Amino acid sequence: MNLYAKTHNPTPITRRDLAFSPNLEPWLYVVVIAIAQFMYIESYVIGSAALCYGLLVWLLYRGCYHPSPTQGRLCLSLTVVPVVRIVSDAVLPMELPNVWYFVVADGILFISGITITRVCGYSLKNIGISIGKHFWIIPFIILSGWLVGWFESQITSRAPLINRLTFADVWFTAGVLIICTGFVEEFIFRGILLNSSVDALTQRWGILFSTVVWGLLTATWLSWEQVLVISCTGVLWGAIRHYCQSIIPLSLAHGLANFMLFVVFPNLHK
Amino acid sequence: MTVTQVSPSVADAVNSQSVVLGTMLILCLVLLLIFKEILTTASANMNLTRLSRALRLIVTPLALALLFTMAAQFIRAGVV
Repeated sequence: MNLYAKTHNPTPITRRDLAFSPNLEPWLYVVVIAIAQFMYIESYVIGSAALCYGLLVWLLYRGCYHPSPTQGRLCLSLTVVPVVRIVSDAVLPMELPNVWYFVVADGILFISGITITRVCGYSLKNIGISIGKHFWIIPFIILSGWLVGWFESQITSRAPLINRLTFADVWFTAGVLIICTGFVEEFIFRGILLNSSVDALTQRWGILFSTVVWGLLTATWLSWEQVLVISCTGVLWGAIRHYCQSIIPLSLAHGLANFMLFVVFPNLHK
Repeated sequence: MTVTQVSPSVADAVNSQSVVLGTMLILCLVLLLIFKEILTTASANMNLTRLSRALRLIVTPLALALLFTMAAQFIRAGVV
């Protein structure tokens, strides 16, 4: 299903194809995402959704017809951004209890991520699902998750996901948060999106690009301080992803951060 | 720190507009499926095949999202 492997005879680049500068084009999409997110947090939900659908169709078209395969892959990878908004809007009204919301929403995103991986022709190693290297750094990465969770809990107050800290509830919630929010989001943002943006832009700009997109998507908690903390975390984890060549420790760190944020600190502050 | 969770005030706005959002989702999905069928029948061109395949990328999560939107509406209406 790799769409780019079959392009034996690429069409020559025309002047029309270069209407957007290749390095500028992804940043224009970031501006559109920022506008959509701003409308969303200002409760213009329908306008934001319309913008997301428009962006989705455009990215799909652009990803398939882009003269540069790397830019095309980046466009296809970015389709996950409007999908995140559409999926969360679809699942929200169900008012699923506790962690089941994450199971459903992130489950759909995982399916979307697998499809993007197949369409773009990425291997597991490309997207960081491997043992990786530099194992000595793993404890520090996981510790960074604890620190991020603590920072965020100082900025925003959230209702605890579970009120009774029984052994079974704690382990189930921790497992769901590590797999659904930790692994799936790292798979999408540090796996697919970071890989395609580093290919299309440079390593430095690629890390920054994926971080900005991730940060913008988390702006829905109406806290710009939180966006700042998450953006700094994104830069750090993006750099670590390139150093370690694996998203597995980052998934653990992300899951731990959410566990601290949604379970441990809210129960401590009760 | 998760991209799918939203603040309570935004969640209220989404819940109040869920019918319109669901309708938009259905329209988008139907249009994409029609588009996909048209492209699949005219797939002599390589680029068209590529677009047709990539449409699956979008149709799968949107179809699942639609399923959950409809389920939410049924639950709210007291059918389930």
